[in-house]
Amino acid sequence: MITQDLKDYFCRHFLGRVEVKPFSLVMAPPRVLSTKRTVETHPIRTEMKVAGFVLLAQKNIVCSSRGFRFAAQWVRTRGSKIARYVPEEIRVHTRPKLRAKVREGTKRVAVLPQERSNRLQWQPVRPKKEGEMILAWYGPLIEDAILKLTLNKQQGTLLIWYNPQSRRFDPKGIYLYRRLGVGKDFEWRWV
Amino acid sequence: MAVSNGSLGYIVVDGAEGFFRGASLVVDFRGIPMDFRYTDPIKPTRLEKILYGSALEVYLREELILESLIGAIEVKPMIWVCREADLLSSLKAITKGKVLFLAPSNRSPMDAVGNLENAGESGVYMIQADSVSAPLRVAFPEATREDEVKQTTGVLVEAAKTMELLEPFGRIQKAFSSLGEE
Repeated sequence: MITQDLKDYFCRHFLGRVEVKPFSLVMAPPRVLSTKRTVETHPIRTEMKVAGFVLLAQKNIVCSSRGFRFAAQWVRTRGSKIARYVPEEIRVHTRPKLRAKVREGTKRVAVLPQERSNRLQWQPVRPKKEGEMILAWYGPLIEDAILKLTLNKQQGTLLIWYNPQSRRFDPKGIYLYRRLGVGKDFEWRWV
Repeated sequence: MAVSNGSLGYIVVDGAEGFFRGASLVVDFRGIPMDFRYTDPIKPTRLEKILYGSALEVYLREELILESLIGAIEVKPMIWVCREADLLSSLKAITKGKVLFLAPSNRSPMDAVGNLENAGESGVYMIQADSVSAPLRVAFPEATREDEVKQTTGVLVEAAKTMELLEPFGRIQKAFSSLGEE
């Protein structure tokens, strides 16, 4: 205490000041809080994003690309519970429409031979000489348009390659003969 | 497209082993090819089978393949010939020309070339197209007039003088085989 008195004494003499501390009686206004509550709403359904779409080709469904119009009776709306797990993005896969691709193949088929079966059983005319036997008759054939003839021995059919540039249309038939006897060969004969 | 005189058009739509494909071959009266078109094989997916249901095969064969083939040809034949009777009405509707179904028969030959007999069903006939084969079974779409039948069969008889009428179907099948080997 003495020390404090001494300090005050010397302060008055040498400094002439006394520390004066302010004291206010004005109280700060009380903080007013509202009892009204606000509710913050967060949707649990995330935004859906359609990545693509396709219309299936059905003749009986009327569809339009502009505004995607379709008949009202096909619209079905109904309420349902919100699913807990909702996908963030719905991807609608595009199915390519069924299509038939047509290719040109005339050259491809032009190299294929025509095939004639043996029609001897229907052929009433059977010209033959002594010592020979008719094995087959093939026709109708355009002799002057033929490029190549080949006998398919396994099938007994005749394969024909025609010259596509030929303008001949005269039909003929061809007989296949076998000469009877040892060592005798086959013979073709046009009629 | 003008009709090419002296020509026949053959059309095949095949639906074996889950694959659908078709081909058209237009030949002159000697059987020489004038136009050949074929489709890539179409294999419908499981989803397409479910979505289209029983209509799938009809849609593929009659609308998709047939229409595409007819739309692609550049030589229009006098007559379209098919070997599947169920294609007849669609073929008629698409081509708007003369169409018929042609198949072999086991009947004994008729008296003369050009003879036409009713086979007992409406629009189905037996025709003796040439003198060296059995009669052929020929069918026309419903409501085909009698004079149209005679006119069309007359063309067949004319063609049969220089070619074998059913032979181009075999060539189409060979073409399918060669395409399948590629």
